[in-house]
Amino acid sequence: MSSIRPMTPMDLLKFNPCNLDHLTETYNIGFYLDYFTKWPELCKVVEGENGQVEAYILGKVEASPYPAPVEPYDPGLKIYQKKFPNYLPWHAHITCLTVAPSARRLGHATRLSVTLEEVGDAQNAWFVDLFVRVDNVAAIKLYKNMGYSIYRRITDYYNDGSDAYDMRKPLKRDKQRKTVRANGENIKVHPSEVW
Amino acid sequence: MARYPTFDEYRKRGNYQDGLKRCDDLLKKNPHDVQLLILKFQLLSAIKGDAQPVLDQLASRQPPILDLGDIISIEDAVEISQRDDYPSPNSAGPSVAKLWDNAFKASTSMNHRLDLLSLRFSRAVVDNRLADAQQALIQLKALQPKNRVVYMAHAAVTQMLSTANDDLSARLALLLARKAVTDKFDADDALDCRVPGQIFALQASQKDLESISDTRFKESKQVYEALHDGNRKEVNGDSAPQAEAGAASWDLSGIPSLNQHFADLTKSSASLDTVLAFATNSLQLFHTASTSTSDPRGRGAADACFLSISALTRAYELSSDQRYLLTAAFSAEALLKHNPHIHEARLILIYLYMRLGLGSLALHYFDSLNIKEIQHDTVGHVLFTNLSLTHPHITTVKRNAVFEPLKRLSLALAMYTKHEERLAETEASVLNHSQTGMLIDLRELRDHLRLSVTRRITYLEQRRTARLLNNALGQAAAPMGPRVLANWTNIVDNRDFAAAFDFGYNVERVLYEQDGSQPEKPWILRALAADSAWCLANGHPTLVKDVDALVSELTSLEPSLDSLKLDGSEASVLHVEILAGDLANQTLRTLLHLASNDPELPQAAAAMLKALERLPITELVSKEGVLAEHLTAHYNLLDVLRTVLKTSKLAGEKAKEQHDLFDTARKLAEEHCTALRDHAKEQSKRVSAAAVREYVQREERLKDSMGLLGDGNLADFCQAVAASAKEGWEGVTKIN
Repeated sequence: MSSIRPMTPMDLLKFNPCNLDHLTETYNIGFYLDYFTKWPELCKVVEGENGQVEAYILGKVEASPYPAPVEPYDPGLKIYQKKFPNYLPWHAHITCLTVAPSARRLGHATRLSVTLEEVGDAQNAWFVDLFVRVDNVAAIKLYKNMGYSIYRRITDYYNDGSDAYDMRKPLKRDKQRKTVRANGENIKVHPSEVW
Repeated sequence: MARYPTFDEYRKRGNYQDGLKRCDDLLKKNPHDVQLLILKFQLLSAIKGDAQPVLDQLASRQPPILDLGDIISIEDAVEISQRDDYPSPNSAGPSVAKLWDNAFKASTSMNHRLDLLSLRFSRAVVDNRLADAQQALIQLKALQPKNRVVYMAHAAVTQMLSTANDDLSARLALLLARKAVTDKFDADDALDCRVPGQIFALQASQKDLESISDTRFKESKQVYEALHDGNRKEVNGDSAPQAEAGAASWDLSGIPSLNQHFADLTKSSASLDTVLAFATNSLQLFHTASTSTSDPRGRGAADACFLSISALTRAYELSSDQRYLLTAAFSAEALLKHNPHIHEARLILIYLYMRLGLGSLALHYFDSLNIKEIQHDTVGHVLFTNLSLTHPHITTVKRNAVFEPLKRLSLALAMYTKHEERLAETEASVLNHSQTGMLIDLRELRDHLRLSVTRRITYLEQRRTARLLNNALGQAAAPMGPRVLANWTNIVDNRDFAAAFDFGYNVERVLYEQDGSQPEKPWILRALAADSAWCLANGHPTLVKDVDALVSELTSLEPSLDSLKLDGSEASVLHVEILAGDLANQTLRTLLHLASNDPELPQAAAAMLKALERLPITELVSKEGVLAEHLTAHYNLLDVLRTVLKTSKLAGEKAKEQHDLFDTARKLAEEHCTALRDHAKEQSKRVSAAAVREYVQREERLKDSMGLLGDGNLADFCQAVAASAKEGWEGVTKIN
C-alpha cells in the first residue's frame, strides 16, 4: 500500500523512480532545501511499499511582491479583471508535481494536489495555480479533471522557448470563482508580466 | 614588529621548525602577542608537537581575548589540527570553550551576546561539532528563556548527541520533548513543533507517540514511520494491480500474476530450463504488447520486457552464460525503440553493459539519463564502479558530443562538497528560518553523504582513471579527510537498487554483484592498496596515513590465494580482482619496508614476487572470447603491474642487496604487461558483429522469440555490441 507523508531532505535519496523520468528535472539541493525550509507543509511524498518515492509535490504560498493595487483585494472588481489581471493575490502554487511512470494512473497526483489545496484553504489562499507546457496534453487533461482551468498562456516561458499554460483552481475563499475565467488559452502574456 | 611569514607560507615551504624558532624569538619580546601565539599553535600542530600549552596560554590570557576575529582564528587552527582525528571530535575542546565564555562574560550588550552565541552555534554546526553547538544553545536559552525556537533546537541537538536510548543525552532530550508537549507549544501556530515527536519516534517511546497523535507534534516523517511501520495506512482509492490467485495467463491482463509467478520461480530455485521457458514466453508477450492498441496503464510492453529481463538475468545467475545478458540487453534496446522515454530500460542497460564490459554503450546510456546532482550518489555506482577498469578513455556518445570519464567522475565528486556545504548552511541558519524540525533530517543527510560508499568508490575510480591515462594527479579531487583507514571503511550505503523494476527478484543487485557480493569494503581496500602503492612509488602522499593498518586489514581479509583460479566461472572474475589486490598489497608492503630499509624488506619483496607469479596471466591471455570477457582484469592487472615496475626500479636504486630479486620482478612484470596488451590487440581484431550474432543465436531456446523483435534490429544490435567490445579492447592497448 502507498501512503502520503511529509517530504524530508532524506527523500532526495529515494526519488529516482520519479526523477530519472525525462520530464522531471533534478535541481541542486538548495532548491529543495528552500522549499523544506519555507513551506514544509506543502512538501509531501507518496511512499511505496519498498520505501521508494512514487510521487511528490513541492508547493508554496505567496502573493505578488507589491501591495494590491486596490485594497482589500477582490477578484470580482472590474479593475482586477481589466487593468490588473496579472496581480497575484495570496495563493498556493504547485512548483513540482511528479509521479513515477510505473506508479501512474493510481490517483497519486490527485491525492497530492488535494493535500496542497487543503493547506491552501487553511492559509486562506484564493486559488492554486501551476505552470504546464502547452504540449503536455496528458498533464493538462489530468489537471482539468481535477478542476483546474487555463488562466493565461505565457509565451517563451521555458528555456527551450516553449510556452506554458498558467492553470488555476479556485479555493474556498473564492466563493464567486472570480479568480478564474474562460478562454484563458487565448490570453497571451509575456514572462516579464508574470511574477 | 617586523613582518613574519604566515602559517600558509611555512606550510608551502614545509619549514615548520624555522617558523617555530622565529616565533619563539619574537615571543621573547612580545610574550602575549595573540597572532604569534596562534601561529606557534598552528606550527606545533602541523608537526604533531605539544600544542596544548600554547592553547591553554591563549585561553587563560589576561585580559581575555575579546576580538571575535582572534577567537575564530584560534578555533579554526584547532579545527585544522583535528582534521585527521577519527572519529571526528564533536568539540573543539575546553580551551576554545573558555575563549568563547570569556568573551561572552566580558560583553555587556545583550545584542552582542546574542550575536556571539549565534556565531558560536553556527560555526559549530558547520564544523560538525555538536557538543559545542549544544553549549551555545544552552547559553542562548539562558539569555532568551521564552524563545521556543532555541528550545526546540536544543532538544534536537541533544537528541543528535545521544548514542543509545538510555544515555544522558537521550534522557535529557526526552525530558525536553515531554515538557514541550505538556506546556502545549503547539498552540503557537507559527512554531515548528516537529522536534518532540521526532525524539519520541527515534527513542521508540510508544506512549509518548500516542499522546501526540492528534496534535501538530506528529507532523514529521519519523513519527509517521513510527506510527505506520508494518501497518501502512491505505490511501483512499486505487492501489497497484495485485496478483490474483490461479494460473498465470500470458496476456497483458495477466502481468500482475506473471510477476508473482516469476517471484515464486526464483524462490523455489526453478531450473534453468524452467526459467528460460519463462523468458521465452515473456519475450513473446513483449512482442504482443508492443504491437497492441489495448493497454489501459500504458505499461504493458515495458512490464513484459522487464519480466523477460528478470528471467534472463536469473538464467545468467544460474549459468554464468553471457548470452542471456546480451539477450536481455537486446530486448531493452527493443523496448526503447518502442518508447524511448522508459528510463528503467536505460538504467538497466547501463547495468547490463557494464557487466558485459561494453563500456562505451554503458557511457552512452548514462549520458542519456541526464543524471544530476544528488543522483550521482544514488545511481552513480551503476556506471562509476569499475569504470576505470572498463572504459577510462573518452568516447563519442552522440554526434559532436563526447563523454570523458575523468571529467564526469570529477563532476560527481564536486557534488558532494557543494551539497555538504549547503546542508551545513541550512542547518547552521536554523535560528533564522526556525525550521527546527529539519535539524535531525539535515544532519542525517549530511552524514549519509559524508560516509557514502559511492563517494569513496567514485573517488578511487577517479584516481585510477587519472593514473591509467597518465593524467596529472592535480586533476584528482582534494583529499577526503580524515586521512585514516577507518574513514574509508566505516561507510553508509545510499546506492539505490530499486530505481528500475523488481518483480520479486532484484535484477539491479544481481547485475551489480560479483559472485554474490557487492563492491564494498573489500573492494575499497583493494583499490586503496593499489592507489597507495602507486603514491609511494611515485613520491606522492597517500590517501591514508595509517598505511600499515591498510596492509594488515587487506592481508587478513583475503582467502587462501592459492585456490583462486581463472576457470571461466563467474567467480573467477572476482578471483582476478583479489589476486590483483594481493599484488597491490604486497607491493605496498615492499614500499613501506623500502622506505625504512628495514630487515623485513627481503621477505616483503619475496612475497611481492610470489604474488606476481600467482597471477593467472597464461590462462587469461589464452581466452578467445567473443565480447569483452575479462576486459576489467586486463586493466586491473596493468594498473598494478605498472606500479610493480616503478617499485622495482626504485628498489633497484635503493636496495642493492635485493637487486636480483627486484630485477626478476621487473622482468616478469614487463612480460605480463606485454602479454596483456598483445592479447587485447588480438581480441580487438577478433571481435566482429557476425561472431556476436552467431554466439547469441547458438542458444536455440531463445532464437525464435528474439527473432520476433526484428532481424534487422538484431543485426544492428550485434554491430553496436561488437563496436563497443572492440573499442574496449583498443583502450587496453593504449595503457603503457
